[in-house]
Amino acid sequence: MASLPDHLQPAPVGRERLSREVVASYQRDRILLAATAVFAERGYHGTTIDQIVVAAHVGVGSFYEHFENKEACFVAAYDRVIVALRDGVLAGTPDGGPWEERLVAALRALLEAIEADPAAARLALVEVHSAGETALSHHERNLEEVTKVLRIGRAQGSVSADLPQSFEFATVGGLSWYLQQRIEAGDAAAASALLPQLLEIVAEPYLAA
Amino acid sequence: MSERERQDDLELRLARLPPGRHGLPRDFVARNQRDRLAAGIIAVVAARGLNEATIAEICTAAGVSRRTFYAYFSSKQECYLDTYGRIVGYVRSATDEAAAVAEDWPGRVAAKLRTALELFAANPDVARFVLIAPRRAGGAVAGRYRTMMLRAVDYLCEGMPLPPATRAPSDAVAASLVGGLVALVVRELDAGRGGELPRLLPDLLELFLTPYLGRAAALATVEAVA
Repeated sequence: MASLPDHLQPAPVGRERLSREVVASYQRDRILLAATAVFAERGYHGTTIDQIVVAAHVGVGSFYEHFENKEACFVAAYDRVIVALRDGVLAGTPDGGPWEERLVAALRALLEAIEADPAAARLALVEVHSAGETALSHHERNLEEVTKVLRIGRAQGSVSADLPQSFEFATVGGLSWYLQQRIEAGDAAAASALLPQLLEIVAEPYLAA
Repeated sequence: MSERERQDDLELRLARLPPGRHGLPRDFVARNQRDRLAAGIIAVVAARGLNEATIAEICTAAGVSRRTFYAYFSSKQECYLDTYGRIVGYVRSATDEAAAVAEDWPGRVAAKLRTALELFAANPDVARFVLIAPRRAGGAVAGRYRTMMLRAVDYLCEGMPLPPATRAPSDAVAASLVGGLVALVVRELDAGRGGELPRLLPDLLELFLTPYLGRAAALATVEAVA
């Protein structure tokens, strides 16, 4: 059973009266955190709303106050996980300096973010594929964003300008496939060890230029 | 068998036959019902996905009874996996045949990719069934897809000259290359451009061969064959 970290355990009843909005957003976060753990453990199709509410220590009614159904809950949990992953990558990537160095730093930060939260990584890179159309369209948009970031390298002359236009898209698709396999094989908790492989997959065309 | 004949053959084998009495020998009918079920599940899964497809819909599309379905398969998943294996075997025999007449390793890679793209272009539903549906379905079916992808890597690398004639990228690069090529194919299928898949050949070939041969030799192969 997925258990919640201390700061998300049910709060003791206090004298301060929290506003409705604060309570609602706190509860929503709690459900999403619990849902992430349950989805990662049981897979999207193997997860039920009952399991999520038990793990989140909330009632079924509370679940439906926030989410229409399991799919909507997954999409919200996925979006939340992506924000954290993106923040992690941005925080680990210097604002300036040579493109190639920033790329390497970003890949390292991505792996560290995966390692820091394997359940979140599983949601973002494995379960998202089987969680329905909406989740998939969010995922495709996110991959497209990464593709655009890689294209900056082409614009800066870091990689041959006459590579096929599909080069960045294929690289991102291949990277996401590779990471999915590693996470399914149970490597997420030691993801940093995959840096040499990621450099070979993503960065070599830039570093060799 | 020519390319055209092969496509006709696949279409024929996967085509729906009119239901009812047709006076054919029993084993032919049996084989034929299985072919019809294959055609039925391909059509339904390509349109709606495996989890959404129902056995009733598959039977309707196949023009067979529910009872006939259960005479062959105990579940939708079993029917899916059986059909999956037959398609992979069929594509594999076609790509083998095309590769047999190529002169060297890059030529064989080109022949395999070209043949697969042409088969998928002629049968976009089959492509969706094999390349899109399993990943979206998850579970055991996704596991079957994973196995197919691993074998595809080995298959494309088969007979590759040893270094120093080729560079030796890691298994990670090989796996991600094939993942990347499939991502490009899936993008075309999702955009409804399945019929134009053969246009991808030059890009796929260049992207796949570059890490093994270097850019110049990869481009030379693309020039020669694509």
